[in-house]
Amino acid sequence: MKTDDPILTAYALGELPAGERASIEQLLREQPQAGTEISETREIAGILRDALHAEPAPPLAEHQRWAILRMAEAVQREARGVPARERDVVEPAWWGRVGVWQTIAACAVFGFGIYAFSVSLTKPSPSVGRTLGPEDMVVTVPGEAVPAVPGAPEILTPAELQQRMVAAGGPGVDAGKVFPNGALIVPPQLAGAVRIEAPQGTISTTAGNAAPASGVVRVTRENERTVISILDAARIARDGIGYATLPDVRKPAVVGSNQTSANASIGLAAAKPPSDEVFGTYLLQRMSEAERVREGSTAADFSKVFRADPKVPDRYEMIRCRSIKVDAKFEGGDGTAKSSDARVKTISRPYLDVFQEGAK
Amino acid sequence: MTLPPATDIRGLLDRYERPLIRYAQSIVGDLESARDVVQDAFIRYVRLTSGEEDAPMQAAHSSTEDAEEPASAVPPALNANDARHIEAWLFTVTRNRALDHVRKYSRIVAMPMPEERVCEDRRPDEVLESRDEAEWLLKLLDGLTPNQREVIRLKFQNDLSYQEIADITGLSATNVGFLLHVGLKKLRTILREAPLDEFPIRLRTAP
Repeated sequence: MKTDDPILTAYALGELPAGERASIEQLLREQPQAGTEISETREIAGILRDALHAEPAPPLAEHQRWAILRMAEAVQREARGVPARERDVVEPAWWGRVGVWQTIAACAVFGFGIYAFSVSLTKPSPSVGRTLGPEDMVVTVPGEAVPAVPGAPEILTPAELQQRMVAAGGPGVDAGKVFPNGALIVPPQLAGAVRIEAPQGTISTTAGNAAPASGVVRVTRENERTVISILDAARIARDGIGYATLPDVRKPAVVGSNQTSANASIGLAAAKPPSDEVFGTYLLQRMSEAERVREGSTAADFSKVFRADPKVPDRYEMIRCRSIKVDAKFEGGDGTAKSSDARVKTISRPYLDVFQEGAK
Repeated sequence: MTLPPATDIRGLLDRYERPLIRYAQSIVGDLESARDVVQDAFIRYVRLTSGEEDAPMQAAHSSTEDAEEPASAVPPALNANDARHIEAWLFTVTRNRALDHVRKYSRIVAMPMPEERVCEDRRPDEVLESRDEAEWLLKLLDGLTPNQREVIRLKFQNDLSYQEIADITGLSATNVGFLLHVGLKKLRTILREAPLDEFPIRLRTAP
């Protein structure tokens, strides 16, 4: 046997069964060089083990851990037939509390950015470039045969959404970019599963990670239609489904730029946004006068602002805050907030006012 | 399959969240993406054990994001009563999700967070002094192939056997052994031959 043999490494690492070990031990008696190989392998293995074990191993962010535990608890309760409580499993830190996230997430959704899931127009069709209106969808509540039953989700066109946002005191979002295909407004009183069907070929899920994973919605294909099933409207209304992983926050649509006719999003929105007063207070708590974000700020500046606040646990929340707070459009780079050379082009009111107020 | 009590979920988090995040970070590169990946793996675990997903292999393997390429390893069937199965399942799902993430976001340049950035304010000699043996060795890993790095991490960071690594990566146990052998040999060679001022680590064992 050669001394350069994977079986010697396996022996050195304790991976060989007894029978094969005996043959290696015989070899060691005959070839001392093999013993050197094994010793050296064990030494480098020990060094590696020490070095790799010493590598930092951070935990999940508290709100992520909380979301997992909360979901496990909810599933258990459901299995036992016990209604979900308003708060369960754990009492998280302030940033994980339901009320805070409800406020944040609901506002974010209305503001422009926390998406429960996103759907993309993946291939050209007659629908591309036009609004996906109510006539394209069928909303079905179990037990009801007709759409538009009381309590069913509302399907809003971009114009309607814009009006609703303005009426609710939300930001003046360019709805044509943020919600190019309108939005589904889910009322809190909605009970039971709801199906929203859209023509096949018009939409397909691409990044529906968060909401499906959290059990809030499910997106499937049935025959010639894409079916979006809202499984837990109460949770959408209560939590704004903001605690789940939201890969969509990295998509250009979130920061309102580079939206093309090939990409479109449907937002699941909580029914009632928080007041500007609540919202502004939240923002001001997190703003540092020295590092407030201005027009021309880079994505790195955003980091600094939020990283400067030790209460902000991680970038996940930072992105969420960014989505909430900075109703901004980026230019340069690939148009995403993560692009290092993207810069803020505009910051919409009323948030600019909030910044200025915070600087006083 | 019944869902383990929430306390068990908490126990699983306590036991595995940190190793999984470290593993995911070695694939996706940044901490927050790694956290997202691991959160998703746990959420899938909860859904699967609750019966919400009724096809364990498919559910664990599938991507909710319509990955353009299939993930490379099929997770083992999940036996929620078997800790080793759970560990292998979580690592496999984390790996697949991390690879999906890399494929999906490969065109986006991750913006490093402050704690991830190398502090450039120190003088070179200060930088040198502050780096200990572990840091140098981790730097050495950059000289290996991704496959070699991955099996070395799984073996020495997570203390997994050849077979467990094979289950997670979809490689054969023989292939895992070969990758480890070649990777370790390469590291030994570097440590033997590289200038001391470049890699100030030496093996005590005489060649």
